[in-house]
Amino acid sequence: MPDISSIPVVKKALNGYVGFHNLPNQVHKKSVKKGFQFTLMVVGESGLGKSTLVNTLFNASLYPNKENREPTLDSPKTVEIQTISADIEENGVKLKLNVIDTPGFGDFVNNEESWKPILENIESRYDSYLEQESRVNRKKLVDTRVHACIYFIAPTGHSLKPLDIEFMKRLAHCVNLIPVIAKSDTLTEDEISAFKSRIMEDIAFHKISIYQPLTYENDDPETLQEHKDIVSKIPFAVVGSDREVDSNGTKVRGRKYPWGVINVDDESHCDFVKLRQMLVRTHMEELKEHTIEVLYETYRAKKLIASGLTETIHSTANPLSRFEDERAAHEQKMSKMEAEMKAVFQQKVAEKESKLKASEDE
Amino acid sequence: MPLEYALQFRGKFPDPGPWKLPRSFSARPSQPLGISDLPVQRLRRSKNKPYFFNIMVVGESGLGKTTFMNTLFNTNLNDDVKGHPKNLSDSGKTLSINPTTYELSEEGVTLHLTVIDTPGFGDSLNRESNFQPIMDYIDNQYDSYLQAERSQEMRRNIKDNRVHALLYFIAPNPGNNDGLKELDSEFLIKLSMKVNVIPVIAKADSLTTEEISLYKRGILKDFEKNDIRVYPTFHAEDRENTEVEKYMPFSVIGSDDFVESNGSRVRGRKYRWGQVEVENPEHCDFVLLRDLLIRTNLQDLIDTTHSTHYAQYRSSRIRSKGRPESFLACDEYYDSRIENAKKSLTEEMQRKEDEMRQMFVSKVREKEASLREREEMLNEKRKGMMEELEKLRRSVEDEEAAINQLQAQRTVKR
Repeated sequence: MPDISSIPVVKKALNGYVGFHNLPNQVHKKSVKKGFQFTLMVVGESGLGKSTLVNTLFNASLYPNKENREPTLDSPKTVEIQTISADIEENGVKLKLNVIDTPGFGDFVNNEESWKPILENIESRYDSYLEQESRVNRKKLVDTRVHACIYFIAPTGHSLKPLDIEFMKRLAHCVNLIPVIAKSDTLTEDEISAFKSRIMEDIAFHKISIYQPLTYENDDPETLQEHKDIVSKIPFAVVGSDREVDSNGTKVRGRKYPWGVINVDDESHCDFVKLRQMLVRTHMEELKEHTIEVLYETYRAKKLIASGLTETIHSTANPLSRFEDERAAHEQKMSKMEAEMKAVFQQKVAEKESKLKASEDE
Repeated sequence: MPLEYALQFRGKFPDPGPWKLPRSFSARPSQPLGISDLPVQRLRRSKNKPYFFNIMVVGESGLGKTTFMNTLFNTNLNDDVKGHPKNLSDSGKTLSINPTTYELSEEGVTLHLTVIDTPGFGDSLNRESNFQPIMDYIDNQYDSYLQAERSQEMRRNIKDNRVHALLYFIAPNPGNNDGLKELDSEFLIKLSMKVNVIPVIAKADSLTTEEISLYKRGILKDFEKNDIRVYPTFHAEDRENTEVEKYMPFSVIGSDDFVESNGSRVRGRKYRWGQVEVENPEHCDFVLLRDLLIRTNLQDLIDTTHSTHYAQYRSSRIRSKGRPESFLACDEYYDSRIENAKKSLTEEMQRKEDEMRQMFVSKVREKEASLREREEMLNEKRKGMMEELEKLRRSVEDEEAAINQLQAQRTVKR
């Protein structure tokens, strides 16, 4: 049987029309028909404006407004995971957008384990896809993998907090991390640039691999420049606003202060536009591809090699097996208990008997 | 409390777990987001990467397969058409499978086309042996793709050597009932379940229009009778022009030569009594085939090979190895199974503990009861003994008293 991969490729010139130049259009049509999907995760302490930023990014009230509630005694103990899903359509192109929120992160007294539920959630989505991919029938694959994670840094102006570093270190290898400086309208331009450089230093120092948008050599110089601009702004200093305010007679999305109005959509005021551009207009597909082809594959390879299996179900891959272990441990405990009780019993009986015997002899 | 403020939505948007997407609502952005650029984003990433397409041609010798491929892709793929490989003399027994890859470029789009020729098909006397090598070849490509997919390493850009389309050349001589010959129908039955089959009537310029339509009808009847599923009627995900399907199987003519027509050079064959133009829709269905195969459904052929034929191969292969349906034991019922298992385990453990305790308690009681009995018995005995002792003591006292009396009497007598 000939091996196709060893066949040399012969270049031929066309004598006329064939029609395969239409291939990109065929692909285009198919992808429009199928629709697109994107899953985004937002992580950060309460009050950094996560829901507002999501609403601002997608020009829609995905998250309803929060009301002022009475404080209650019922307080949660761990980070929660909440997901919303929105269908957006534009010019016939459909996008299903899933946003995952993580309330509770960084809000407890002891935040040492804050990152754990989030990491587990991301990995369980990989597990779910891995399992579905290995099924015999793969007709309906549900892809819940997270394509990007926006991490909100509090605008302290100093440097990254230990919580930030811990989280980013733990998660950078399994999800595309995009750090942003939240509520950056409290920092001046100089403070922002100093903050940014300290943040990047910290990130480099701790060897955290945040998401780096790739550039292609084949792109035209305009696109290349655009990409360079975007990359230079990371981490993005953002301000969110889903309300319109009046600025010099025009309505803009922004925040109105006594000393001026900050316009979210103005690039000179904040990096929001760049973030939105990267996320939606230029790098959405690439974020997905990086997740699917690199991050997921790395996880998959690690997992398969760790369980040492390709064909058979190994007991460690079976989570029900830990119940077996528990059961075995319990049985051991029980038999030990039984033996103990028996021993005590015997001893007491012996005591009593000897006592009786003694008084008998009397 | 900022935490509770943030948790206001608790319970409102619970995460449905990693197996399901949450129920979505329709959002209307107040300004356009730029989503309509997404298909372009996707294309941009593959812009200068070549496309890959693998097509197999099957048919008896002399049906003009090689010439036809040259015509279809408008290039001289195989320069020596007439001179067949020298191993014809010993190829009377077997069939050989010859893949060749060409790099073609049209308006900036590069296509790596692999044409898999099958010289020797139908040539031997007993042609049963011709089937197996072709089926094996198709299966082998599926298999190597399956192995690559299953690999434990990171799977980057698996090379796709699977056969995306199979052009089956039917001779322009009708068989019984103006339909397929036995060789063709037997083979098509087997092939159409494995791969996208597009049957064509070759050298259609030897048939008149009526003969062609009669033949086509006979062939279609045979397809129906034998449940032969050809593309695009079956398997295609993209069936935009079902009009085209009315002309199936396509009657085609190939030519490496050019003729003059209306002042331009077109591919054709010049006879004494006229000239046949390949691209003339009145002369043959070539243009329809080319449009379907290349201009509109090329990507679809690749996609359906993966989603239908390969998927079928894969599932039957996996099932045959007796592997259970799921790979890791964590599927979408994982969470509920874990819950149930946990519950039943704790219940069991509790039950066992209780049982043991009960048993122990009852044993203790038994022993206590028997011991008490003994104790009572002993007490009885002791009482009895004490009483006896008392008696003895009293009798001893009495005797003492008697002795004292006697002594006293004696001293009085003196």
